[in-house]
Amino acid sequence: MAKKVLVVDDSSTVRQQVGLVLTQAGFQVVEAVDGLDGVNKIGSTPDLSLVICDVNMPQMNGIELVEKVMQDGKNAGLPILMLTTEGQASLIERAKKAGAKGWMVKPFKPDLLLAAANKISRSA
Amino acid sequence: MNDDFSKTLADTCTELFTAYGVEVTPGGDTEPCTVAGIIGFVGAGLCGSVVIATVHNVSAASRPIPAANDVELVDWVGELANQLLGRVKNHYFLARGIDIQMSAPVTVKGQGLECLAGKATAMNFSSPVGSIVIWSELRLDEGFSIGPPIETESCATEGALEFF
Repeated sequence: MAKKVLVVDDSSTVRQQVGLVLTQAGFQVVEAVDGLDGVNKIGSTPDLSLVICDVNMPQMNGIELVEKVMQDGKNAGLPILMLTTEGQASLIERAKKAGAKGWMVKPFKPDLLLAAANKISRSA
Repeated sequence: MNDDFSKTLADTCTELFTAYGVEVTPGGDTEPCTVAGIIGFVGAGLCGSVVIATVHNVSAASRPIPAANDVELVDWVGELANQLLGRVKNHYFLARGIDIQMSAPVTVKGQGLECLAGKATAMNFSSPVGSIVIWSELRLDEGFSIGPPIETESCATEGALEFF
């Protein structure tokens, strides 16, 4: 069964770009348009293998999403990869402490994103 | 406008569009802009905004995936503004020990878009597919100044990947 990935970004271009890389590699992709939508989709989408999440978004930012999801015992084991323009060490540390599994800075190389998805996604 | 800030912004704009396959050159005449991405920032002692304004052809040429419609072309310019300021944050502000918070980008489209607000500085760029204007404003609180780069912990750079 194909692994299912949730892509959370307020830019439709980024969601499409990430989605294309993943679907061409056999993943199923679900999209969310901001952090709040992301939390809701995590709660309502069964069998997610990975979340790829922007940081700066309206309604709820990506690090707040990680903190919220990890506090919720049901999805605490869900791997989350941050994909963002931010490179600040303190933000990276905050995401790490919150429970994210990785940090990638835009613009991303498709093969590197795919390698990261394959490495940290959990089994379907 | 702070010279180092302007230079960083100009260099960053060139790098950003090059990363997305559009070679840009500082200067040149501009044509009426039809789409713009606006993003603000604030930090202790400062605030400002950056606007990328261009034409639809530049958005189409730089967008990593062909746009299916006008909405997608406009959205991409917002993401360009986001990535432009993200780079400026990493290479200018954080390099000087200054943290800024970035807003979510806002996009507008129209005909002949111009920035009329008082103290914005304009930088023009030309490319094979159309012109680009970067408007920027950096306001410093009274008594606040931005110094040269300092020894500070390094940022993750564009394309970097770190596993935890």
